[in-house]
Amino acid sequence: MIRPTFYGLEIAKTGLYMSQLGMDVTAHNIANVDTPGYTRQRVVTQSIDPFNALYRLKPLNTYKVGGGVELKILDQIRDEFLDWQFRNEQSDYSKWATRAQGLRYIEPLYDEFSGGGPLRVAITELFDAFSELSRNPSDREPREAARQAALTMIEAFQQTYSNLLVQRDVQNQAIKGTADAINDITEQIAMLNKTINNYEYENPMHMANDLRDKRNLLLDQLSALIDIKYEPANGYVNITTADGISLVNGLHVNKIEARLDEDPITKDANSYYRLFLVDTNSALPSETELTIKNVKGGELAGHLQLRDNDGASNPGVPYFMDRLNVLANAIAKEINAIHSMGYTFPGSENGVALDKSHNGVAFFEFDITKGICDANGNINFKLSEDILESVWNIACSDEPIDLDDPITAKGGNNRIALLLEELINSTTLDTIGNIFSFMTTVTVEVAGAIKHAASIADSLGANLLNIDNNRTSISGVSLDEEMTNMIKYQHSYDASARMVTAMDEMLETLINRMGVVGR
Amino acid sequence: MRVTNSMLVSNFLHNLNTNMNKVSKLQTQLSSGRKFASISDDPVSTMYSMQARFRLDNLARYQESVKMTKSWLTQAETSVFDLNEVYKSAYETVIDAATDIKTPEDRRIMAAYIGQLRDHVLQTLNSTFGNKYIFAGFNTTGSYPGNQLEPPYKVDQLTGDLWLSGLNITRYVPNYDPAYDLTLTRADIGYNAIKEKASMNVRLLAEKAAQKLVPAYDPTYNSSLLMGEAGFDKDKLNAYNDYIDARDQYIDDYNEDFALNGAEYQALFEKLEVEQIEFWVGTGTKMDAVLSSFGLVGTGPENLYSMLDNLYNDLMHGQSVPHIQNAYITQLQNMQSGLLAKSAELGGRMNRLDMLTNRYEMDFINYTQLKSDAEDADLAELIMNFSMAMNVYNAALSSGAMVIQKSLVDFIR
Repeated sequence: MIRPTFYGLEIAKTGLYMSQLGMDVTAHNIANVDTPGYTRQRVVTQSIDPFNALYRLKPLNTYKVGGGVELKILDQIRDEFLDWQFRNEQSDYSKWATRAQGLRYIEPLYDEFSGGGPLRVAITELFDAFSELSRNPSDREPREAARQAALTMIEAFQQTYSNLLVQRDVQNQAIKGTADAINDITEQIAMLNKTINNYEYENPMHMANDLRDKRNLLLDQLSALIDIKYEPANGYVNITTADGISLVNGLHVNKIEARLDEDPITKDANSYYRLFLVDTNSALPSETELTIKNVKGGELAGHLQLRDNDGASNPGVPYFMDRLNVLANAIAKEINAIHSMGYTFPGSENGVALDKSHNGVAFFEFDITKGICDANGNINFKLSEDILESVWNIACSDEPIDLDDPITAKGGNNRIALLLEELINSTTLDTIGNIFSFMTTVTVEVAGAIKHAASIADSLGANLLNIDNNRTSISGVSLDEEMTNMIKYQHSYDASARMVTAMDEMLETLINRMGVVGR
Repeated sequence: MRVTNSMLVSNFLHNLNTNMNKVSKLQTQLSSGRKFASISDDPVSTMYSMQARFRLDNLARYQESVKMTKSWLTQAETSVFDLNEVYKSAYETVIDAATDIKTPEDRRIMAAYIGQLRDHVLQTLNSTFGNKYIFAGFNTTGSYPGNQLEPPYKVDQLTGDLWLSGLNITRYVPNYDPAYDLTLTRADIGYNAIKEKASMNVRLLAEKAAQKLVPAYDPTYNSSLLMGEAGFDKDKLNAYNDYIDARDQYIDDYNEDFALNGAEYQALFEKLEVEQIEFWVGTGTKMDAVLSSFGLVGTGPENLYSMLDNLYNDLMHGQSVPHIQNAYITQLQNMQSGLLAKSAELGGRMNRLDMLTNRYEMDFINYTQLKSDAEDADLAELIMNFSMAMNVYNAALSSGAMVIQKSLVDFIR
């Protein structure tokens, strides 16, 4: 049994090919050193067995050598567990980061230290005006000042409230935008599912590495938008929401539909996006509404919380709208209750004498169920018609005033004005207790909510960076390593080439120099 | 652990960013002088700061209130001082007059002086702070029957009674028998008619007659002359009768307008007595900025004004020395001690206000300190931290620059 003549050349050739492949992969890695989501690839080789048939028939004392090197697999180095951890953490992180960012937009409304927060000062000025009124109940100027202060306060309320409405609408739009982005990503993933599946079916030994990178990157992005569960199957990746409702199933995508509906809080028609996840895959198409109850992570959860949560824990914009309504309601109600006990001053407006002194006049008008104002600028918190008609209708006196009668000419009676002024220190106001401790509480709630969200986002962000570092530690391209590999493959190529030369020389010897004795 | 390029870069960026945030935060604190740039930086300090600001605002309101109350009371004090001078002068005049040495002419001169004092009392009672009467309870504006200002204290021209906001002080006796009839009778006017002042009132009627409101009346006409007797004048009799009619009409109108019985008068008195104009001078603390008028002049026929009026008439009409001594000296002494008590009460309130002013000044310093503690940054500490943060930032920059630019590539030929 003799060895095939060109066997050695063949072996050297596999070495050459493999070195070239290694060079290509190294070049590919280096080229993608900064590509987001790129996973380093590596050539896994294995040696070629000696021919089996020959091996079986091998005579004694005959050494059989392997046939060189061949590609086992061209794969990527990725840790699925770290991916899972990263995406899990990312959902949480982006929820809190979204919350912190959204709340920061409303922070200036409460931050009087930075020149915002007009409310506390405006309320203080109203009560300063009541104080002045108690000293001059029969003069026009302090009455004008009190009415002006009340108008300014209402304006401050309205300004704050309409800003909250705007921020809420920003969240509403963001919800729609996030839903669109989710749909976009799930659709791309479904398309990649198909391509990867086809490619890997056709090339069983080849992974669709670069396509998988793309899909993994999309999964990373998706996990920032909404909390998901996913599992790979047959080259596909199937995605569901945290509740198990399918988003992507193989090639099929269930889309999230954003439908306009009546706003549950402001009651405006067609201004509020409701999200429905429509499952068209099963025999019975079903739809599930996505709300703060079943979306727990991702930007979507953050936006939903900011738009819809009216509770005090992890409050959203509606909570602060509610606090403002409650405050306005308490001020209006308590001032009205006292003011309507008082009697108006029988003054005259533009030369026309007003009604004689009477009680039962309201100071403010406010219906808490309607809110302070709406998105169209209609204001529901305002001064009563009587006060708008004339400042003499501000009641300071607790008994009727009749300037024509010396007995009842009680122009100096300021008892009602005193009661109004003292409201600022009262601790038994409707729902709120004391005006300023309530305002302090709300301000601290805003500040606390932001700080809470921001610090959670910070620590999750650090975590996320850590996990991502672990991930890149495994999957990322190290230039030093690639350089080393380059030199390695360069040398192995050189060596294989030298082998070919050596083989060539051996064949030269065999063919041209042998059997020439006596020629 | 395998360290890759993107790891290096992202770690480096992250740390750089963290450092930059720190520097930026410190820089904001330095440039604004405040401990926190936004309320979310420090919710707890925000709370303290808001509480301090709220207290400062409250304090400012009370300080203003105390200042105004003081102004009102200073005005009242001046008036009380004036009245005290009136008492003193009246007392000296009475002592002076209560000797037989004085001639009726001297007494008339004294009467004229007392008349001036009497009018000054009325003016003082109607004294104002700004445009507000300060001794009339809630009636600070006066009343405007027929758009004519009537100050709270006024004197009825016919009867010489002192009125306050519909209460006849002269005729009212506190806690009097409720059945007591306060209606005006002819005798009330008749009594005055014999006096100098009454003839003045009759002159008033004559003036009204000139305006055709009541017929003219000649006080020198003796109505008892019979028709046909010498000196009988039909026109004068008619005029006299018209005067009597006009007087009766006046009495009827008067009684109709103020047809109050004793009980109603008592109720009105009690109401007027508690009409205090109060201001808040502290949380839950009110202070009366005016004086109860009754304490100043007294009530009943012996109130300061009516007493001086009577003294005037008595001096004018030559009442006996014992009468003047008996009637006025004790009264004046009693009333002056009452006035001194009022004066002491005023002084007490002023003292309290002074104490409040001082306390609020201290409170202002305290709360400003609280606010500053909550809001203001400690500059020395900040500058230290700032330069430390800058150092770290610089170190991060230079180390990053060294690590990132080199790789194996630089060493392969």
